[in-house]
Amino acid sequence: MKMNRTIRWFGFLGVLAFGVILTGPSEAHGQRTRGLDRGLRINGEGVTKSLKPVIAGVRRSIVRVLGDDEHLALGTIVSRDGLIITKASELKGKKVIQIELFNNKAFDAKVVGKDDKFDLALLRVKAKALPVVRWDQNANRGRGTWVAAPYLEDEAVKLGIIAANRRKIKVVGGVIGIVLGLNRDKRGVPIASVAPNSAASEIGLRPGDVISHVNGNVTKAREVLIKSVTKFPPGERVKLVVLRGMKRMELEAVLRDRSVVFGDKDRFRVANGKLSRRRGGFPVAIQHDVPIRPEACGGPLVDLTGRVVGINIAKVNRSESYAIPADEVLKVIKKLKAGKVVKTGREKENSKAARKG
Amino acid sequence: MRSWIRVSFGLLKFQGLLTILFVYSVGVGATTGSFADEVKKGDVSELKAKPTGKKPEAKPNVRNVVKIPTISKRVKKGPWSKTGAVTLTDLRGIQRQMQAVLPKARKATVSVQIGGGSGSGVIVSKDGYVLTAAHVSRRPGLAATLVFEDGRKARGVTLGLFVGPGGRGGPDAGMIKITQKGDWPYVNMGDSSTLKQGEWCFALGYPAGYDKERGPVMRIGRIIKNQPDTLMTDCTLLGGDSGGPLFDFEGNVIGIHSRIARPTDWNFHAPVDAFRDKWVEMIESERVVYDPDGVASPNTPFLGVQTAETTKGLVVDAVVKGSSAAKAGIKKGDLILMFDKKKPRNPGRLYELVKNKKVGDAVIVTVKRGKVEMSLRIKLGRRGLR
Repeated sequence: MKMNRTIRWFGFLGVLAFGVILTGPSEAHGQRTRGLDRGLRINGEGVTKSLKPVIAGVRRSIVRVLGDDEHLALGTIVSRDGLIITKASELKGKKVIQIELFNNKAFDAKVVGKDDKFDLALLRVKAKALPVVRWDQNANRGRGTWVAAPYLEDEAVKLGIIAANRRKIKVVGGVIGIVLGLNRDKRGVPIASVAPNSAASEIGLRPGDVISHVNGNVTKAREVLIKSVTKFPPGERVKLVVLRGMKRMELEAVLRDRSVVFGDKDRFRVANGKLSRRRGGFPVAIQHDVPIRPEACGGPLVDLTGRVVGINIAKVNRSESYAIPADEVLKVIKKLKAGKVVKTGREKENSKAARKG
Repeated sequence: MRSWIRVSFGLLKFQGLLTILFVYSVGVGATTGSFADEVKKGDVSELKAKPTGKKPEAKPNVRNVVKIPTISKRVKKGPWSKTGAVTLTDLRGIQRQMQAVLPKARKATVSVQIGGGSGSGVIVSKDGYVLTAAHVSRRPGLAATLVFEDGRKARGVTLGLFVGPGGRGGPDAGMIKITQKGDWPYVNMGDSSTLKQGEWCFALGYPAGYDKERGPVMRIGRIIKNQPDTLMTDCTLLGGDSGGPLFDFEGNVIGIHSRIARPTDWNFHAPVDAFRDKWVEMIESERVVYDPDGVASPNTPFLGVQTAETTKGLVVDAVVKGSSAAKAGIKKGDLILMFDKKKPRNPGRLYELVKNKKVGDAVIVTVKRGKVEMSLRIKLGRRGLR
């Protein structure tokens, strides 16, 4: 979709980068040292082992969430009688949901409800006397507060700080997977190339095709086309009118994540490993710099007292992760327990479309 | 000469490995809709200058009073000064201190907008001197807009640079002066030379551009390496952080974000001492070239050729733009037969011969171009200042 612009922009960046890239440590200095011992760096053992007493209690309240025998996410035990909160979008399309406790005991889980805005799902397992987390509901925990993400594995924990203001996180737009041509066409925007493994390749778009409408809106200008697509998140369907020669086609494309379609083109964001598929569109979130793994979402984010300040919900890039703050998580749990299912507008539409299909 | 060659080698070796952290808001606006949109919406209000009756100067007049900022030493010892393993009590102490110095640090950290790009910066004096990265300020005399955490804006102009030869590498130090009158929130400049591996530090910046709801983003880490031209930490930086400040635990700036490589603990910052060392030159909008051998001092003579030893003799591979060699008409491909009546067999020998002269000395250089031999009278320039 925006590949074209991206290419030009990275081309520019590339040139600049070549100009500014440094030689690295100069050998002439005779100071080529190995640097600080790995164990003493922020997530080295010499630092994280100090968290042992903090996470000892919490770790027993973390569960592994499996879907059709595949590890999907972590979950956090929120009631003694078997309620567990986790990241909802990771469960998508899985028939059998199971959870595993710290002691490797496995349980079948039922989905009590989902809140698609916060991307949280409440699970229930038939169990008693489960260890429940302690919450910290102070909504004003700001920058410079230590936070840690404990994992299930023995003593595994990652450390960081709250990094920015608690706020609404915008939707991360999806892409069709086309590079826009520069030549003008009175009817719409021509396609220069089609990315493999994208909605565009799936529905058979070809270079030379012209996109004249998106969701019924005329898209003669590139900017209009870009805007009308990227305002929707990955997973969303958009209706396209595509002109090929004299032929007019009406097609539907399911948008995909730009990092999936275009790979690691986002050089300035340097991914450093896998990112969460859903990384935006949360009504409220805490931003922190704990280097969590995407499959650790659904697990707790704790402060130095071991209280849960939030539930990890997305790994965004090399230095940014989001958690839904504890006070909001508790509100969501209350709603879902009462049987309320919270859906975003697009989820409703999608489920309708799915029923139709 | 030698350092220049080394840089070119370094470039080949490291090409594609390091990423600069500047962000083009055109691109960012298109991808995330964050920065460019915000500004257009009028979300950021202009900071009003106090009525002075005078128009802001296009270029600040700094030649009259040049006061080099003093070193704000780290005096308070605490768990953040520890270089080894930490305890839970240490972490608590670090948190307390971090939160104590944060408010002032946040106020002095700005988003820097120049042309279509967006980076970060930090104010280090009441009258509005701003430290940033050279690849953000780009060159002296450009108009810059600085955006504060609360959305207020200030106008500024870019000053000098302290960079490697040809603008590549080196400390990547740049500066901006706020041209509007006012008392600006600022932080002190710390001491980067004495930073030890393992000391704790924190970073602020505006990754991916200004975002009012989000505010400046904070990262924490430790000093991994301290080298004369660069600091390495595990404060994980992103595009747009470029020019943003790295702080010690007393809230003094110790570095300016410059570049990253793929591993999360490869984050590089210009040491603050580099700014202090070249303060006068930079505020006078000079371009200072960093030379690891220290031969860039104003008294080091400079010819301006990159040479290679071949079977035919010493051949010129490249001529530095604006250098004495360029002015005298030496061209790529020329063979250097004689330098001041001596025969340079290899680049190292030529380097020695040049070094033993003085800036301003006139020497006779004999070159062979094709079949033509020429003797040129060349007045040696100075290294670094071109």
